[in-house]
Amino acid sequence: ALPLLNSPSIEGDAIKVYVRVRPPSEGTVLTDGDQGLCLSVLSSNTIRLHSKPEPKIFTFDYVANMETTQESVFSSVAKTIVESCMNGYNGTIFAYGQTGSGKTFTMMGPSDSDNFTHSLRGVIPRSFEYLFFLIEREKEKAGSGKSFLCKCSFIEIYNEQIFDLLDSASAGLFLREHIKKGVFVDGAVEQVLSSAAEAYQVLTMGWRNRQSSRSHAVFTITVESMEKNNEIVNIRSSLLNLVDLAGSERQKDTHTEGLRLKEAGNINRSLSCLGQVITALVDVGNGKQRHICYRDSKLTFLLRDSLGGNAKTCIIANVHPGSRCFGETLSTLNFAQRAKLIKNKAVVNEDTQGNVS
Amino acid sequence: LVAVRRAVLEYELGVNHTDTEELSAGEGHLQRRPQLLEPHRLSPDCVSLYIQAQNNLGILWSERDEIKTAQTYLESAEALYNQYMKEDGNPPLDPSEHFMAEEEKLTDQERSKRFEKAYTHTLYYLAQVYQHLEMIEKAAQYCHTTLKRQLEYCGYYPVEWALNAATLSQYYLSKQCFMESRHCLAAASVIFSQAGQVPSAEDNEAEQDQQDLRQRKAEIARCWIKYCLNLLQSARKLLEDNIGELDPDRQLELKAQRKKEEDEKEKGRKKAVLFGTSDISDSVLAMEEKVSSVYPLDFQEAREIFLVGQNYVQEAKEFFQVDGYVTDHIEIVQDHSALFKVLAFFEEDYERRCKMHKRRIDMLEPIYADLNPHYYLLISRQLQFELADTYYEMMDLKVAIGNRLEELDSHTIKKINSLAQLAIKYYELFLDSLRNPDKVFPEQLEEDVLRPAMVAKFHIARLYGKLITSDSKKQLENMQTSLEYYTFLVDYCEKYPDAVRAVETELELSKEMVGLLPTRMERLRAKLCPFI
Repeated sequence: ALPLLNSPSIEGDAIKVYVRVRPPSEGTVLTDGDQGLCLSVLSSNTIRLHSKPEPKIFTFDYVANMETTQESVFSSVAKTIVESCMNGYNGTIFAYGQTGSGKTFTMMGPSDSDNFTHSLRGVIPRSFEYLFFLIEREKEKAGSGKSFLCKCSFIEIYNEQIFDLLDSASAGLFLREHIKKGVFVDGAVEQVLSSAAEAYQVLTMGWRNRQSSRSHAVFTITVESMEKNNEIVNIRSSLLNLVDLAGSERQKDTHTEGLRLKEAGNINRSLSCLGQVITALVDVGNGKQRHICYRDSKLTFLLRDSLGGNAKTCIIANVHPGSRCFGETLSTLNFAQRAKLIKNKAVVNEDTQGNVS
Repeated sequence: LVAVRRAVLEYELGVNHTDTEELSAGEGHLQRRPQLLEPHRLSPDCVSLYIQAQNNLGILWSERDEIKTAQTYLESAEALYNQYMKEDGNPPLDPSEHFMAEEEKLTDQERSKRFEKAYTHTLYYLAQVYQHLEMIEKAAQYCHTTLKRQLEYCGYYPVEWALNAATLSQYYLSKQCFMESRHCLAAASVIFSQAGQVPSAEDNEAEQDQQDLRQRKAEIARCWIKYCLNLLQSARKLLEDNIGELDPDRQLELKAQRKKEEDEKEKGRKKAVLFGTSDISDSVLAMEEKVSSVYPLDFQEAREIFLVGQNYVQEAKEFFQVDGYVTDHIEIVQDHSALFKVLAFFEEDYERRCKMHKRRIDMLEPIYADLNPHYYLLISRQLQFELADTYYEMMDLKVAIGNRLEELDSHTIKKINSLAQLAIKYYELFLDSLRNPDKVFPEQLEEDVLRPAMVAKFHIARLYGKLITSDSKKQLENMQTSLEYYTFLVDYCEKYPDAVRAVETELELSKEMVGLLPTRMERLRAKLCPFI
């Protein structure tokens, strides 16, 4: 029987989750045949994983099969996010999945090619084009009354440390918050952009500085619009975050659900992970007032706005269909399933004693 | 002897394999060993090796997601340790010694240290196993014991230990175990102070360490704040009557009960797991004495806890300044406001109570004004709601004060009206924050804002009902507005029956008002134009 998991959700409510199945590298299909695949796409939003004894069926907002083109991924995933960014929402697109599942291909395009004109270019270059297309259109419509300012930054989070990819000389940077401007990376270079081509140049330059595929790369564009209407100046600003996450395999992510015990191992001086265990216990608490000393990861802190609230967020979960990847694919799909449930928890403290009389 | 040496080799091979994630090969080696050792597992030669091997098998099975199997290995290691300590207790040989020359052998002290460490690891793994099995209480107990043993055998970093203890205190808070929670926090503070000041140097790294240290201190202060807050709030829960006021009968009853318990306590001392050897436990005890761990039952007692909490608010704010730590800073301010709110509950004098709420307004309002809701939507909503509620509460107090007077003077009326207007203003701001960029109010409310939104509507309805005016026309208008808000609630729940559960009382009252108000308005209208 098919489990009915999602009730019709309210627009903009939870996080949208897309799954993209990459084709196996050339040659493997011929040798492995159909038997070598661990999943099949049933429809544009369901996927079947050939697990034993019972196959598992997952439902997502959209499932892209092996034939899906880059263009079609962009229009079904990123287009609305770029549009809502123009309307003043913050937007975030994550690519999630194990190494080799096609995250970078999806976000950037094939390596070693001029992605900016290449027909296989990925979500990021296409988002640039679309964003600047929309800006130009707005400008034409509004005439001289409206102006735009785009800035971008590009950082890498590796081992819970932040590096600036636009300034390879920079040392570790820190996250700070500003009461008007939100979370920001203190000291990160912000480059002004005037066209998609320029954005692309910055992106490729930064990409070359990236240390490791085991790091998270976060490309952020700030779009500021200023509209003058009879002396009243209306300023709007929003963020677009494009994130290429580190490979999900064996990652010490705050949200992985592995049952692995934390090893105190040979570093005998301390049981440095004890805190994480206790924190997990406190988390189970019952909504009572409490404070947990250990902060979330840098990534979740930076993207806190994207996980609910004033933001449109989508996750592209990339999977490799080969049977050898079964384990990782299962955990990716499980993660994606959970991501659908991410929402802001109880928002408003409200107690009622004494006010109904 | 040869058998033991072979077992050591098997063990080392097994660990090697599991470290490189060759699980089944590693299992082979680790499994072969018990057969070799089984008869001698209680001998000083083998016991440590046996325990360490069980630990590793525990890790191995957890990696296969077979937590139950891991549990059996670890529990058997625990049992073996206890049996050995009971029957023998001499420091056993460390596995590494089997291949050491006689003169390199370890001292008894070193042996015992390593043996105890292996067992600490067993407990620590068990804590995790229980956590995965959702045996939360047991997991917490094992975390607690692990911390205790770290302290006893000096296997800890002070700062890290302190944070762990402070975090554990928060677990006890959620279980309302205030004595345990306080003990953990006091120990955290004492051990943290041992971390000492890093000598201030010019270079950047020491600067960073200092910064970290200050942050940790502030984090522990925040745990203390929560402690004070929870203690006060729980006491309030015990003491309040059905309209949220202090119940004097209940107060007397609880005081008598406490007296009785204190007398009994003199006989049997507390039996919780306590931290520390004598010198540390003295400091911990001294630290504990600074704040009570029993429910405060009157204003004086509540005030003492409040003051401790307020001191920690200052301490935490020193590090978490608004510039750079917006969220943390505001959370601390919110806690401060909550401390005032619960203290006000214990205050009998209405005027003074009102002043306490005014203090809350004074700390929340400026922060709210500066905050950009585009990035801090959630906090912004929380502040709107809290401000609205505080004004609402102040208005209620002023009404109560006014009711004691012979006649409402114009000053009091003005005050009541302005408080009500301010409450309405913040409730409306909250409701506006739910609109989409095109300013449209959502057709269906999301679950996480459903109750607050409905309560806001309901309170606005009541507030319009409370506005005082001598102008009958104005009064009619207010009643009309009030009716509209009540109607919203009733209509919404009719359309989305799921919402009823969240606002049962409010809905019932709204229905009543929707029935009553039109008649009242009719009567008023008739008075206004008696000839029509």
